Amino acid sequence: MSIIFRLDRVMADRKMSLNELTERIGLTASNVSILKTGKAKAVRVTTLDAICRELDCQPGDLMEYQRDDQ
Amino acid sequence: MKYFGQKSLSSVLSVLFAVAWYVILVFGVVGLCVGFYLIAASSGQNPADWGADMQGEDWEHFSQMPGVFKMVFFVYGAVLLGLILKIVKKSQALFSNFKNDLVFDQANVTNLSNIGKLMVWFAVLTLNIFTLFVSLLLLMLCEIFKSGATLQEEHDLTV
Repeated sequence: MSIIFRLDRVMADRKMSLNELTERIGLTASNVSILKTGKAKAVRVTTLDAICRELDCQPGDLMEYQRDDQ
Repeated sequence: MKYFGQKSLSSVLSVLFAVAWYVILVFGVVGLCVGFYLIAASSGQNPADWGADMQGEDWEHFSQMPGVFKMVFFVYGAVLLGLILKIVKKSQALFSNFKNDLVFDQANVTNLSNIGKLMVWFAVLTLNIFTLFVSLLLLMLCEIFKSGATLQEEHDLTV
């Protein structure tokens, strides 16, 4: 997958724990884990909206595109 | 009526297939042993003498057959028994998954595909058009399950 999620980095910058984030955005820990490990096939706009709202960031801060050859 | 999950039709069918597998295994092995004994004894005494339910004329035809034909009958019976046992086992696994609420799952796609293919072989060996029709329907159902499993996976991995 060429899209890398930087959720860990943003969470660390905001000093927010995984439990706190899951409670705030109403996602289960397993779903956040799917997102962090890059297994996710799709992200709902509502989920992205909730994460950006709670972490006070832009969608671009959460993900990064990397070429496969890099 | 509840079709999937605990205490549902699937759980009843799962138990039924599990029991059926052992019953078929026991009766099949006994049948094969009797068949093998008949083949071995076909050059000797009439099975009616020791209580077997065979017509004298049938026995005469059978005993006059070449040994190779008799062995083909035996192998044919053994293959059919093996096919039935595998079909029942795969069906039990399928309903067991349904019982555990795993419906659109890759394991079920494999199970359905295997059941369909085994039933095609069974239909060809027994020259049964109805079984062939059912097996083709199962193979089509397998394709639907394949699409369902893909959609389920996408759904599970959508955050």
